[in-house]
Amino acid sequence: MQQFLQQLINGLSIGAIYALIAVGYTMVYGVLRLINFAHGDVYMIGAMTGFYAATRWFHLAQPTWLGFFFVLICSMLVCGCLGFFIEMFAYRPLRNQPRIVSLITAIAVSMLLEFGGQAKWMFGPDPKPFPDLIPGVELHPDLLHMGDVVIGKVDTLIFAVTIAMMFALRYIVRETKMGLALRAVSYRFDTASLMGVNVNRVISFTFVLGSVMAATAGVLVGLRSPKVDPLMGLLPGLKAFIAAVLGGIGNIGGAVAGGLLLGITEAMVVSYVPRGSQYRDGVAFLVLIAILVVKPSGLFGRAAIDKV
Amino acid sequence: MQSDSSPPVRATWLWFVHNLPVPIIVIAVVLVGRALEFSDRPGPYVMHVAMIAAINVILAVSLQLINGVSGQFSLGHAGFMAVGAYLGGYATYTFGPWNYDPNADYPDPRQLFANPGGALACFVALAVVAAIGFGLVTALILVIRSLRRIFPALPLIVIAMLVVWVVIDARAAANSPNIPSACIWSRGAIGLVNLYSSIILHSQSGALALSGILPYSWRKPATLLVAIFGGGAAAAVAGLVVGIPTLRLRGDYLAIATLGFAEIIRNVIVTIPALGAATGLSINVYWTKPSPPDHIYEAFYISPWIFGTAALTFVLVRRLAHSPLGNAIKTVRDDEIAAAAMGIDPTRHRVIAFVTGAFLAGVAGALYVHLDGYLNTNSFSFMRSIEIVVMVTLGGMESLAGAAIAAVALTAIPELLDNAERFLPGALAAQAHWMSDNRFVIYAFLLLVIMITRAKLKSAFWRSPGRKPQSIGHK
Repeated sequence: MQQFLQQLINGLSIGAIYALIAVGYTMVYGVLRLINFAHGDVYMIGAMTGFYAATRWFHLAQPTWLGFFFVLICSMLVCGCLGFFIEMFAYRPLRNQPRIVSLITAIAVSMLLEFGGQAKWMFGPDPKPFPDLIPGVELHPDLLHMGDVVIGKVDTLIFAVTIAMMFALRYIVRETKMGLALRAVSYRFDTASLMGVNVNRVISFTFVLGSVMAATAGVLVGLRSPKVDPLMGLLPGLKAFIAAVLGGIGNIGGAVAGGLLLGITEAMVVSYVPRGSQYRDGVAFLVLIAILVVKPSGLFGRAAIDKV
Repeated sequence: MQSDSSPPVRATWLWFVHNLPVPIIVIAVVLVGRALEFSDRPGPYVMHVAMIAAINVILAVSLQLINGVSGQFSLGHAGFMAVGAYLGGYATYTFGPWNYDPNADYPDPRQLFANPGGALACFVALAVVAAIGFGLVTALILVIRSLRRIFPALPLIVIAMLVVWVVIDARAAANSPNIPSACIWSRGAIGLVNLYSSIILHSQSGALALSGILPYSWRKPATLLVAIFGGGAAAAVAGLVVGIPTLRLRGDYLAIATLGFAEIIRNVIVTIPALGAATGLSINVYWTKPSPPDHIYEAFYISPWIFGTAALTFVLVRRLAHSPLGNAIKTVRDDEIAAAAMGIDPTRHRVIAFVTGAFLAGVAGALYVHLDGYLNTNSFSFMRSIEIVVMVTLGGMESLAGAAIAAVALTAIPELLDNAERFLPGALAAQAHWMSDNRFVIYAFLLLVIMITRAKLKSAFWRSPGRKPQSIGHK
């Protein structure tokens, strides 16, 4: 039982990261029907920016809350701009083209970010050690002890930040005018523009929002695992996409649920299946196949009906 | 409508006229390849690149069949190639030698490719075991689906219980040296593996007799043929396994499902120790290594096979695309409901296209493994699938020749970038060095630029006939 609870907590922490990235995927799919393969690499850029911000720009000798906050804001700014420019230069010219063209362009952008990040004049291929940004973690990493179950401070912070971002996103999507425009565009592209919504601006806003989430995920994962490298966005990006599909792609709450569920499943498989750590990455794809065969519209998605 | 609706009396002459170009083209390509090989001009490196390009042509043409002709967006093509490569290589290497010794680490390279019967026995054994395994799984699935009548949520509950049972079973089996008799799933799995081994063992003498029938000089080509067809058939079975559950998925969902299947195939291959596990499969294809080094005439026996198969694949797929079956597949792509109303079964035609494409990808994989002799699952990653998809898209979704040309071009361009120093004059040596260092970035950037400008050029200069495909932003 102790192991089960411990793995549950681990899974929630992993799943929170997936949820943050999955939200970006699902929002872009909702408005554009485009699978933005470059999103995982925006997450990588967020982690890298956090690294450079913490070590080079702010010269944080001691971890402080203010330092962490600034690193986060810096990372969000950079990734927001990156998302904005990717949309403007790579996806906007291809809006009238068949979907496969946009998909391949998304993959080209992803390759550009990955290989560009590995170049000597950018980040370089070797992993970088992400510094400690949270005060008090190094000596006392655990927040709570319940018997054998340990809840770490970093995990709690990740979960808390994720919840906070989700509430902020929910507020934006439900209460603000831009959020209303976003929902309108994802429901009916053409009619929204007839109703006076500036579709280009809404799409840019969607990309920026998704990229900000991904940047947060990047900084948080840097706190959790010691090394960040230019290829770190490939697998989590794919898994976050699977999480978005699991929850129903186009549905923001579904993406969060899918991310958490996928994280928990991964933790459970690693601990309970014999030689499970070998199947750690394969389990995500098995979940994908399972959900596509059983319920392709996802757990919370609406089934799209083909009309003649 | 086909032009040979003439009465059968004149059909024989017409049949020859229609079909003679096929062997002529294939033989012409093979002869040209051989001539280039024997002359000293291109050199072994260029010939190697040319053969990789030919394999990419097979892959691009088979993906064009799935993506362009049948309209199913598949991102998992490298998975089928992997199946063909690993199984073809495994059959040749383990069962190809004249003396099959299950305990030997490395078969005697001089006796490789001497036992086509053995390779055939390997595939037959695999087919039997796969048939039994799939039959059981299908029966299980059908039983579970029929439970839906009793209670709508019952299948999900049963599946959850089954998953938990299998995990407990696996854990109990892994924890004890002798598998307890209660672990039926583990015992069943091990029983299947034992069945495979015993079929192989018992068929060896028959296989040797079969190989003995063939004259000595025919045995190498026969083994290669068995490996190629066997690898292709295995990939076709994999295509069936992938294609049937994903039948009702469309567009993006199908793309990610095929992507997921390809990754699962890759993960499964890594866990099998007989196929080399994580270190990769290494087979000794000594006939492709020059020995002694200046005898390039002995070096590339594989080249007529590769060029010939590429030409044959292109011609056959083109004929398929313009045949009545191809027209039916295109109709299903364009308007599924109208096709069904006309009596064309969409399911059947989609599966046919998918399985044929998978078969050809398996053939390409089997050729690939005999070219280089070393396999690593990294060569069949998602990136590989994407490269093939890019070849098809850049070549034009409607055109087979375009896909083939794009395949050759996209194989050549990274090589050119790699050797940029040789082509640019000495004054630009530093720039050439930079280019070859950053060739991946340049490739990605070029791809991006080409995708964006191609779209603009195409819409500016050419109106494509027929229905406009669905674009992003529209439902």
